Amino acid sequence: MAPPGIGDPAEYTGPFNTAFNQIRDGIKKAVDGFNDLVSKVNKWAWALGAAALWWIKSKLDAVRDALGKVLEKVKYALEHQTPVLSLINISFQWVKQVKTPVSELSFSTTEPRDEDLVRWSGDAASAYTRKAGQQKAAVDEAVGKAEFISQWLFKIAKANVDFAVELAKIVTGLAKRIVEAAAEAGGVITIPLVVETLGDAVGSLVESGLNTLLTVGQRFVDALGNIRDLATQVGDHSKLPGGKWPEAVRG
Amino acid sequence: MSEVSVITRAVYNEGKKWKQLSDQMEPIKAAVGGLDLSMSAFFIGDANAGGHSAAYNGFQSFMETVLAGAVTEFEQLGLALDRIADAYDRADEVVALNLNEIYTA
Repeated sequence: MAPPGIGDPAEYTGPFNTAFNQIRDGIKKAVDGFNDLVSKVNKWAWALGAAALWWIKSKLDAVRDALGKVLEKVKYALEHQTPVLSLINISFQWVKQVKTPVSELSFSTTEPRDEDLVRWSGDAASAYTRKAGQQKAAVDEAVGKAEFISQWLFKIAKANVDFAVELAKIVTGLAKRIVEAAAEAGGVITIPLVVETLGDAVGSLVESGLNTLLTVGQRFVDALGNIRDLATQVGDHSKLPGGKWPEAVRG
Repeated sequence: MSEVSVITRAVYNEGKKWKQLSDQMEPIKAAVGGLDLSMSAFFIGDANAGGHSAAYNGFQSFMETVLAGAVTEFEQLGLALDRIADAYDRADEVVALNLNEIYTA
């Protein structure tokens, strides 16, 4: 994915939204599959016997708990899908609406509008040249700051895309296992086998998936460390004295 | 055309340039004001985004203030150049100016 300024927001929003479509689709399949499996178990309950049924139920409860943990993450993510899309877009807007147009002003600041201005000399002329130079430096500083914030948001956008893709992988994997299990569970012999295999697979799938999500989440949290950079950006007043635009004219 | 009238014209044109730059900066400043992000816009995972959100808001308002300053300063620099050109025009020569008066709004 190209950073803002080179790339297009669709390079982020595309994979992001695709991941969310897979999540929605996968969750539906996983829940339907689970219900299907439970109804098959109920159908054969009379033949399974109390001990086997108790064992199957405890395995299915574990699957339900794992599914519940993932659903919790999914619910939170779904609520944030649209707002985070605005972050991705705004990351690009800082370049399009701020950095680029401000940088276009830079050249004009010190380039005379009238070629004959070079014939102007003396104290007033040199005072003006100095002021124009300060204004140009401030313009260039503003360009750098717009670029900086765009890149900062870009890092966060990328962590979000990665998180969505990982979550989609977990959900899709989970759905696949559950649907397969429901399809295979067809009688007194297969049900316990299928349930055991499913329980083991789901347990490790969810555990490793959630660990990956934690790692990606840490990258988001780490971006907070860049807040120090952000503070430096705001606090660097060499070109913007006192954190303000340099005064060309007092008052 | 005398030397002073050439310079006067050039200084007026330079003043016009800054007033136009001010007009160009105005919509950019307004755009920055529109780049708001809610706290929920920062992460789809259940991590605390309060710090990120506060930092962004601070940066955004800093940029808005700074660019608003540019709009003002560009305009005032344009007007200061007008005052210089006016003075040359009246004096018919490139006279010594009180720059403190010129560069006070």
